[in-house]
Amino acid sequence: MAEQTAAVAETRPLNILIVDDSATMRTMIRRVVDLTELPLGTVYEATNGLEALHILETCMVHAVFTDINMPVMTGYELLTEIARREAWKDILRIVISTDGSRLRQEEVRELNVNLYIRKPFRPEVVRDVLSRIASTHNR
Amino acid sequence: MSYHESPAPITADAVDALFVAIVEVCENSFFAFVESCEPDRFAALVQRLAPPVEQLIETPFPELKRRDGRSAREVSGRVDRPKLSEWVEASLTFTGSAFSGTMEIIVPVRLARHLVASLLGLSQEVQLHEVELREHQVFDGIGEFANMICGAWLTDLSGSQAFNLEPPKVSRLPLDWSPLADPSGEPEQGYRLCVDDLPWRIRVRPSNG
Repeated sequence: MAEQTAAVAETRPLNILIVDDSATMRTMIRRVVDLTELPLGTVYEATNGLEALHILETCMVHAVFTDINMPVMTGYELLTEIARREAWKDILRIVISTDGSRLRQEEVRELNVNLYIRKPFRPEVVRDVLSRIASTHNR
Repeated sequence: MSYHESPAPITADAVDALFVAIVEVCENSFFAFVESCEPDRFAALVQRLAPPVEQLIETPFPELKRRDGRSAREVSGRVDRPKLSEWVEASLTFTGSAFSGTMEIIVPVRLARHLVASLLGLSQEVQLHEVELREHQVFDGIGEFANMICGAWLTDLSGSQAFNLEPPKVSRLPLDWSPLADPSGEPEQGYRLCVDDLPWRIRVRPSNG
Protein backbone atom coordinates (compact mmCIF):
# COMPACT_ATOMS: atom_id res chain seq x y z
CA MET A 1 0.00 0.00 0.00
CA ALA A 2 2.80 2.37 0.98
CA GLU A 3 4.62 1.50 -2.24
CA GLN A 4 1.48 2.21 -4.26
CA THR A 5 1.03 5.58 -2.59
CA ALA A 6 4.64 6.48 -3.28
CA ALA A 7 4.27 5.49 -6.91
CA VAL A 8 1.19 7.67 -7.33
CA ALA A 9 2.90 10.58 -5.59
CA GLU A 10 5.85 10.35 -7.99
CA THR A 11 3.66 10.24 -11.08
CA ARG A 12 3.26 13.53 -12.86
CA PRO A 13 -0.03 13.76 -14.74
CA LEU A 14 0.38 14.16 -18.47
CA ASN A 15 -1.53 17.01 -20.12
CA ILE A 16 -2.40 16.36 -23.75
CA LEU A 17 -3.57 18.60 -26.57
CA ILE A 18 -5.47 17.07 -29.51
CA VAL A 19 -5.58 19.26 -32.64
CA ASP A 20 -7.85 18.18 -35.50
CA ASP A 21 -10.56 19.95 -37.47
CA SER A 22 -12.69 16.80 -37.41
CA ALA A 23 -14.72 16.52 -34.20
CA THR A 24 -15.07 12.80 -34.88
CA MET A 25 -11.29 12.30 -34.92
CA ARG A 26 -10.83 14.36 -31.75
CA THR A 27 -13.49 12.26 -30.04
CA MET A 28 -11.93 9.04 -31.29
CA ILE A 29 -8.43 10.01 -30.07
CA ARG A 30 -9.85 11.22 -26.74
CA ARG A 31 -11.65 7.90 -26.25
CA VAL A 32 -8.41 6.01 -26.85
CA VAL A 33 -6.62 8.33 -24.44
CA ASP A 34 -9.31 7.78 -21.80
CA LEU A 35 -9.01 4.00 -22.15
CA THR A 36 -5.25 3.90 -21.52
CA GLU A 37 -5.57 4.14 -17.71
CA LEU A 38 -2.41 6.25 -17.71
CA PRO A 39 -1.91 9.05 -15.19
CA LEU A 40 -3.35 11.72 -17.43
CA GLY A 41 -4.07 15.27 -16.41
CA THR A 42 -6.15 17.49 -18.68
CA VAL A 43 -6.94 16.60 -22.29
CA TYR A 44 -7.39 19.80 -24.31
CA GLU A 45 -8.88 20.00 -27.81
CA ALA A 46 -8.38 22.49 -30.64
CA THR A 47 -9.89 22.59 -34.12
CA ASN A 48 -6.87 24.22 -35.81
CA GLY A 49 -3.31 25.39 -35.20
CA LEU A 50 -4.29 28.87 -34.04
CA GLU A 51 -6.63 27.55 -31.36
CA ALA A 52 -3.86 25.18 -30.30
CA LEU A 53 -1.40 28.08 -29.92
CA HIS A 54 -3.83 29.90 -27.60
CA ILE A 55 -4.06 26.79 -25.42
CA LEU A 56 -0.27 26.32 -25.39
CA GLU A 57 0.19 29.94 -24.32
CA THR A 58 -2.17 29.61 -21.36
CA CYS A 59 -1.91 25.97 -20.24
CA MET A 60 0.80 23.48 -19.40
CA VAL A 61 0.83 20.87 -22.16
CA HIS A 62 3.25 17.95 -22.31
CA ALA A 63 2.25 16.30 -25.59
CA VAL A 64 0.53 17.50 -28.77
CA PHE A 65 -1.27 15.19 -31.20
CA THR A 66 -1.88 17.20 -34.36
CA ASP A 67 -3.37 16.73 -37.80
CA ILE A 68 -1.63 18.48 -40.73
CA ASN A 69 -4.41 19.57 -43.09
CA MET A 70 -6.56 22.04 -41.15
CA PRO A 71 -8.21 25.37 -41.95
CA VAL A 72 -7.05 28.70 -40.41
CA MET A 73 -3.64 27.35 -39.35
CA THR A 74 -2.23 24.02 -40.51
CA GLY A 75 -0.44 21.49 -38.36
CA TYR A 76 2.79 22.31 -40.19
CA GLU A 77 2.48 25.98 -39.23
CA LEU A 78 1.67 25.01 -35.65
CA LEU A 79 4.72 22.73 -35.42
CA THR A 80 6.90 25.48 -36.90
CA GLU A 81 5.71 27.85 -34.18
CA ILE A 82 6.27 25.27 -31.43
CA ALA A 83 9.81 24.61 -32.72
CA ARG A 84 10.53 28.35 -32.68
CA ARG A 85 9.73 28.85 -29.00
CA GLU A 86 12.32 27.89 -26.41
CA ALA A 87 9.66 27.51 -23.70
CA TRP A 88 7.99 24.72 -25.68
CA LYS A 89 11.09 22.71 -26.60
CA ASP A 90 10.17 19.82 -24.30
CA ILE A 91 6.66 19.36 -25.66
CA LEU A 92 6.32 15.97 -27.37
CA ARG A 93 4.95 16.27 -30.91
CA ILE A 94 2.96 13.54 -32.60
CA VAL A 95 1.48 14.02 -36.06
CA ILE A 96 -1.64 12.08 -37.04
CA SER A 97 -2.34 12.64 -40.72
CA THR A 98 -3.87 11.11 -43.82
CA ASP A 99 -0.87 12.38 -45.77
CA GLY A 100 1.73 9.63 -45.43
CA SER A 101 4.02 10.80 -48.24
CA ARG A 102 7.74 10.69 -47.50
CA LEU A 103 8.14 14.36 -48.40
CA ARG A 104 5.53 15.42 -45.80
CA GLN A 105 7.07 13.18 -43.16
CA GLU A 106 10.54 14.57 -43.82
CA GLU A 107 9.21 18.15 -43.68
CA VAL A 108 7.74 17.72 -40.22
CA ARG A 109 10.66 15.62 -38.89
CA GLU A 110 12.81 18.74 -39.36
CA LEU A 111 10.50 20.38 -36.83
CA ASN A 112 11.46 17.85 -34.12
CA VAL A 113 8.34 15.74 -34.49
CA ASN A 114 8.71 12.65 -32.31
CA LEU A 115 6.32 10.40 -34.19
CA TYR A 116 4.28 10.38 -37.38
CA ILE A 117 1.10 8.26 -37.31
CA ARG A 118 -0.61 7.79 -40.62
CA LYS A 119 -4.40 7.57 -40.84
CA PRO A 120 -5.99 5.07 -40.89
CA PHE A 121 -4.57 3.72 -37.67
CA ARG A 122 -5.68 1.21 -35.11
CA PRO A 123 -6.50 2.61 -31.65
CA GLU A 124 -3.72 0.46 -30.17
CA VAL A 125 -1.14 2.59 -32.00
CA VAL A 126 -2.17 5.74 -30.10
CA ARG A 127 -2.40 3.75 -26.85
CA ASP A 128 1.16 2.42 -27.30
CA VAL A 129 2.48 5.89 -28.11
CA LEU A 130 0.85 7.29 -24.99
CA SER A 131 2.35 4.54 -22.85
CA ARG A 132 5.82 5.35 -24.18
CA ILE A 133 5.30 9.07 -23.65
CA ALA A 134 4.05 8.51 -20.10
CA SER A 135 7.06 6.35 -19.17
CA THR A 136 9.48 8.95 -20.60
CA HIS A 137 7.56 11.76 -18.92
CA ASN A 138 7.88 10.20 -15.49
CA ARG A 139 11.49 9.05 -15.81
CA MET B 1 -12.09 -10.16 -56.98
CA SER B 2 -13.31 -6.68 -57.55
CA TYR B 3 -15.69 -4.96 -59.91
CA HIS B 4 -15.01 -1.51 -61.28
CA GLU B 5 -17.02 0.74 -63.54
CA SER B 6 -16.49 2.27 -66.96
CA PRO B 7 -13.00 2.72 -68.43
CA ALA B 8 -11.23 6.01 -67.74
CA PRO B 9 -7.77 7.57 -67.84
CA ILE B 10 -6.76 6.30 -64.39
CA THR B 11 -4.44 3.32 -64.71
CA ALA B 12 -5.55 -0.16 -63.70
CA ASP B 13 -2.87 -0.15 -60.98
CA ALA B 14 -4.32 3.05 -59.54
CA VAL B 15 -7.82 1.54 -59.51
CA ASP B 16 -6.48 -1.55 -57.73
CA ALA B 17 -4.67 0.71 -55.26
CA LEU B 18 -7.96 2.48 -54.54
CA PHE B 19 -9.55 -0.79 -53.49
CA VAL B 20 -6.57 -1.58 -51.25
CA ALA B 21 -6.95 1.85 -49.62
CA ILE B 22 -10.69 1.27 -49.07
CA VAL B 23 -10.04 -2.07 -47.36
CA GLU B 24 -7.25 -0.60 -45.24
CA VAL B 25 -9.43 2.25 -43.98
CA CYS B 26 -12.54 0.12 -43.42
CA GLU B 27 -10.71 -2.60 -41.51
CA ASN B 28 -8.20 -0.55 -39.52
CA SER B 29 -10.23 2.43 -38.39
CA PHE B 30 -13.88 1.60 -39.00
CA PHE B 31 -13.75 -2.11 -38.08
CA ALA B 32 -15.87 -2.95 -41.11
CA PHE B 33 -15.55 -5.75 -43.63
CA VAL B 34 -15.96 -4.30 -47.11
CA GLU B 35 -16.80 -6.24 -50.28
CA SER B 36 -17.03 -5.18 -53.88
CA CYS B 37 -20.47 -5.69 -55.47
CA GLU B 38 -21.48 -6.83 -58.93
CA PRO B 39 -24.14 -4.49 -60.38
CA ASP B 40 -27.01 -6.98 -59.88
CA ARG B 41 -26.23 -7.54 -56.23
CA PHE B 42 -25.71 -3.82 -55.69
CA ALA B 43 -29.14 -3.10 -57.19
CA ALA B 44 -30.74 -5.76 -54.98
CA LEU B 45 -29.13 -4.30 -51.85
CA VAL B 46 -30.31 -0.81 -52.82
CA GLN B 47 -33.86 -2.13 -53.21
CA ARG B 48 -33.68 -3.72 -49.77
CA LEU B 49 -32.98 -0.39 -48.11
CA ALA B 50 -36.09 1.01 -46.47
CA PRO B 51 -37.84 3.78 -48.42
CA PRO B 52 -37.46 7.32 -47.11
CA VAL B 53 -39.65 8.21 -44.14
CA GLU B 54 -41.42 10.93 -46.16
CA GLN B 55 -42.63 8.34 -48.64
CA LEU B 56 -43.87 6.06 -45.86
CA ILE B 57 -45.89 8.86 -44.31
CA GLU B 58 -47.34 10.26 -47.51
CA THR B 59 -48.50 7.05 -49.14
CA PRO B 60 -51.28 5.77 -46.86
CA PHE B 61 -52.97 8.99 -45.73
CA PRO B 62 -55.13 11.02 -48.15
CA GLU B 63 -55.14 14.73 -47.39
CA LEU B 64 -58.13 15.74 -45.22
CA LYS B 65 -60.40 18.51 -46.51
CA ARG B 66 -62.22 21.18 -44.52
CA ARG B 67 -65.97 21.91 -44.92
CA ASP B 68 -65.16 24.65 -47.44
CA GLY B 69 -63.31 22.14 -49.55
CA ARG B 70 -59.86 23.56 -48.84
CA SER B 71 -57.15 21.47 -47.26
CA ALA B 72 -55.46 22.40 -44.01
CA ARG B 73 -52.26 22.91 -46.00
CA GLU B 74 -53.95 25.45 -48.28
CA VAL B 75 -55.43 27.36 -45.34
CA SER B 76 -52.19 27.54 -43.38
CA GLY B 77 -50.11 28.41 -46.44
CA ARG B 78 -47.57 25.84 -45.30
CA VAL B 79 -44.85 25.12 -47.79
CA ASP B 80 -43.40 21.63 -47.78
CA ARG B 81 -39.70 21.36 -47.07
CA PRO B 82 -37.57 20.14 -49.95
CA LYS B 83 -37.29 16.38 -49.64
CA LEU B 84 -33.89 14.81 -49.35
CA SER B 85 -32.89 11.25 -49.87
CA GLU B 86 -31.47 8.79 -47.38
CA TRP B 87 -28.16 8.94 -49.25
CA VAL B 88 -25.22 11.09 -48.24
CA GLU B 89 -22.38 12.22 -50.46
CA ALA B 90 -18.88 13.18 -49.27
CA SER B 91 -16.76 14.75 -51.98
CA LEU B 92 -13.26 16.09 -51.83
CA THR B 93 -10.86 17.60 -54.32
CA PHE B 94 -7.25 16.49 -54.41
CA THR B 95 -4.11 17.55 -56.22
CA GLY B 96 -1.17 15.23 -56.46
CA SER B 97 1.83 14.33 -58.54
CA ALA B 98 0.16 11.26 -60.08
CA PHE B 99 -3.04 13.09 -60.97
CA SER B 100 -5.63 15.49 -59.58
CA GLY B 101 -9.38 15.28 -59.40
CA THR B 102 -12.38 14.70 -57.19
CA MET B 103 -13.34 11.71 -55.06
CA GLU B 104 -16.98 11.09 -54.18
CA ILE B 105 -18.22 8.64 -51.59
CA ILE B 106 -21.95 7.94 -51.54
CA VAL B 107 -23.43 6.01 -48.63
CA PRO B 108 -26.92 5.48 -47.20
CA VAL B 109 -27.44 7.32 -43.91
CA ARG B 110 -27.83 3.97 -42.13
CA LEU B 111 -24.37 2.87 -43.18
CA ALA B 112 -22.91 6.29 -42.42
CA ARG B 113 -24.21 6.02 -38.83
CA HIS B 114 -22.88 2.47 -38.58
CA LEU B 115 -19.39 3.49 -39.73
CA VAL B 116 -19.14 6.55 -37.52
CA ALA B 117 -20.39 4.61 -34.49
CA SER B 118 -17.73 1.96 -35.18
CA LEU B 119 -14.97 4.56 -35.47
CA LEU B 120 -15.99 6.03 -32.13
CA GLY B 121 -16.23 2.62 -30.48
CA LEU B 122 -19.92 3.14 -29.74
CA SER B 123 -21.19 0.01 -31.46
CA GLN B 124 -19.18 -2.20 -29.09
CA GLU B 125 -21.00 -0.83 -26.07
CA VAL B 126 -24.62 -0.60 -27.14
CA GLN B 127 -26.90 -1.90 -29.84
CA LEU B 128 -26.49 0.17 -32.97
CA HIS B 129 -30.12 1.29 -33.08
CA GLU B 130 -29.64 2.85 -29.65
CA VAL B 131 -26.71 4.98 -30.77
CA GLU B 132 -27.65 8.63 -30.83
CA LEU B 133 -25.63 10.46 -33.44
CA ARG B 134 -26.66 13.86 -34.70
CA GLU B 135 -26.56 14.56 -38.42
CA HIS B 136 -23.57 16.90 -38.15
CA GLN B 137 -21.61 14.18 -36.32
CA VAL B 138 -22.45 11.65 -39.02
CA PHE B 139 -21.48 14.13 -41.73
CA ASP B 140 -18.19 14.95 -40.01
CA GLY B 141 -17.38 11.26 -39.59
CA ILE B 142 -18.19 10.38 -43.19
CA GLY B 143 -16.09 13.34 -44.32
CA GLU B 144 -13.20 11.85 -42.33
CA PHE B 145 -13.91 8.44 -43.89
CA ALA B 146 -13.53 9.99 -47.36
CA ASN B 147 -10.46 11.91 -46.26
CA MET B 148 -8.75 8.76 -45.00
CA ILE B 149 -9.51 6.73 -48.13
CA CYS B 150 -8.28 9.48 -50.43
CA GLY B 151 -5.19 10.08 -48.27
CA ALA B 152 -4.29 6.39 -48.06
CA TRP B 153 -4.75 6.01 -51.81
CA LEU B 154 -2.68 9.07 -52.74
CA THR B 155 0.04 8.10 -50.26
CA ASP B 156 0.36 4.80 -52.09
CA LEU B 157 0.30 6.42 -55.54
CA SER B 158 2.43 9.46 -54.81
CA GLY B 159 5.38 7.73 -53.13
CA SER B 160 7.78 10.40 -52.02
CA GLN B 161 5.78 13.28 -53.50
CA ALA B 162 3.41 15.35 -51.39
CA PHE B 163 -0.24 15.88 -52.30
CA ASN B 164 -2.99 18.19 -51.18
CA LEU B 165 -6.50 17.36 -49.99
CA GLU B 166 -9.24 19.95 -49.73
CA PRO B 167 -11.64 19.59 -46.77
CA PRO B 168 -14.48 17.18 -47.67
CA LYS B 169 -17.94 18.55 -48.44
CA VAL B 170 -20.79 16.39 -47.14
CA SER B 171 -24.48 16.71 -47.97
CA ARG B 172 -27.64 14.69 -48.46
CA LEU B 173 -28.47 13.96 -52.07
CA PRO B 174 -31.80 15.05 -53.59
CA LEU B 175 -34.71 12.64 -53.24
CA ASP B 176 -34.85 11.99 -56.99
CA TRP B 177 -31.20 10.93 -57.08
CA SER B 178 -30.70 7.23 -57.74
CA PRO B 179 -27.74 5.25 -56.43
CA LEU B 180 -28.15 3.00 -59.47
CA ALA B 181 -27.68 5.78 -62.00
CA ASP B 182 -24.45 5.90 -63.94
CA PRO B 183 -23.66 9.48 -64.84
CA SER B 184 -22.32 9.72 -68.35
CA GLY B 185 -20.02 12.25 -69.94
CA GLU B 186 -17.07 12.89 -67.66
CA PRO B 187 -14.55 10.08 -67.27
CA GLU B 188 -14.67 8.43 -63.89
CA GLN B 189 -13.57 5.30 -62.10
CA GLY B 190 -15.11 3.73 -59.09
CA TYR B 191 -16.49 0.80 -57.22
CA ARG B 192 -19.82 -0.47 -56.07
CA LEU B 193 -19.31 -1.85 -52.59
CA CYS B 194 -21.10 -3.06 -49.50
CA VAL B 195 -20.48 -3.29 -45.76
CA ASP B 196 -22.72 -5.70 -43.86
CA ASP B 197 -25.04 -5.85 -46.89
CA LEU B 198 -25.42 -2.07 -46.94
CA PRO B 199 -24.50 -0.74 -50.40
CA TRP B 200 -22.27 2.26 -51.11
CA ARG B 201 -20.29 3.72 -53.99
CA ILE B 202 -17.01 5.47 -54.53
CA ARG B 203 -16.13 7.43 -57.68
CA VAL B 204 -13.02 9.25 -58.80
CA ARG B 205 -13.05 11.89 -61.52
CA PRO B 206 -9.59 12.89 -62.70
CA SER B 207 -9.33 16.54 -63.69
CA ASN B 208 -6.23 16.32 -65.84
CA GLY B 209 -6.75 13.06 -67.66
